[in-house]
Amino acid sequence: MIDIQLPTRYSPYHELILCSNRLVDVPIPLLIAETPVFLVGQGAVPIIWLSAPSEPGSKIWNYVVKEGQSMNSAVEVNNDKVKRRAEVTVGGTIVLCAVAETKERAVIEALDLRPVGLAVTGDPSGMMVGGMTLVTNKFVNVRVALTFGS
Amino acid sequence: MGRHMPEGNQNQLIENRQFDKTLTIGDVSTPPSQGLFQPSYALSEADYLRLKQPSRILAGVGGVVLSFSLTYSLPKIVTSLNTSGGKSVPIEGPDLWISSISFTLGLGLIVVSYFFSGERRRVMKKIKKHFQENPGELEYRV
Repeated sequence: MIDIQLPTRYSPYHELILCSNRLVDVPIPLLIAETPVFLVGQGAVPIIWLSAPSEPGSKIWNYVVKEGQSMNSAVEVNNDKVKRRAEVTVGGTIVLCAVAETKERAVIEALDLRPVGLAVTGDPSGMMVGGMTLVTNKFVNVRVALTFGS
Repeated sequence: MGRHMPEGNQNQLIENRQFDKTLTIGDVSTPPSQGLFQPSYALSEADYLRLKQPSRILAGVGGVVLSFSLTYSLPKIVTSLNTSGGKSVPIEGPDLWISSISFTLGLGLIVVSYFFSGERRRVMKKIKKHFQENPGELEYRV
């Protein structure tokens, strides 16, 4: 079993709707090179972590958004406390948009990981991963829902 | 960790299924790839040597104080250890103080000289300026 380091301040939602797919008790939605691609943690506004490769094609991924704060001038994070919505944009593209519905449940409404070099997109109707479409599936009690590579 | 491998990735629809294992998907990397790039500082050998070099004045003074301490205390230590006469001569209080204080001061100055070098400070300023002027940026590279 791979030991994946998670941020100490990260507290996952009991239920996370990832573009129509239900993740129940799944702390890591997507994993690449032993680094979570993104994390959506509990908070008044969903608390986002997002990673990007340190170099093109690099196996090393670093967080460019930490605890809902951008670590890089090219990445913008908008936390809307009224709508309980967190949105991460890179160069005008919405990379991730998450809304906290209750204390235990959040919904990822938009996903586009192409700016960080992954062919993963999604909207409320489903998620496209490479040539695969994932619609209304359920992941229960798994540490990682999806992982990339061999 | 338990993993489920889908049969193929091309145009596959996975719908209304329940997973209790991680779903592994093949390579989905796509250009343009984006990365966090930090221009590195080109450290010349001359600068490297400057970084390693201590402050000459402090090291010099430290050396003088240390050699004074040794020349002052060594004869006294030898006398004290020389017990051939039957009874050893103890080192007196003031001598002990002078020796130990000058020894510590000399060593201290030499250590401090490694931190307070003007040359070193200049190079560190140059490196700091480089990173202030070239912050890490996300870039697209195809």
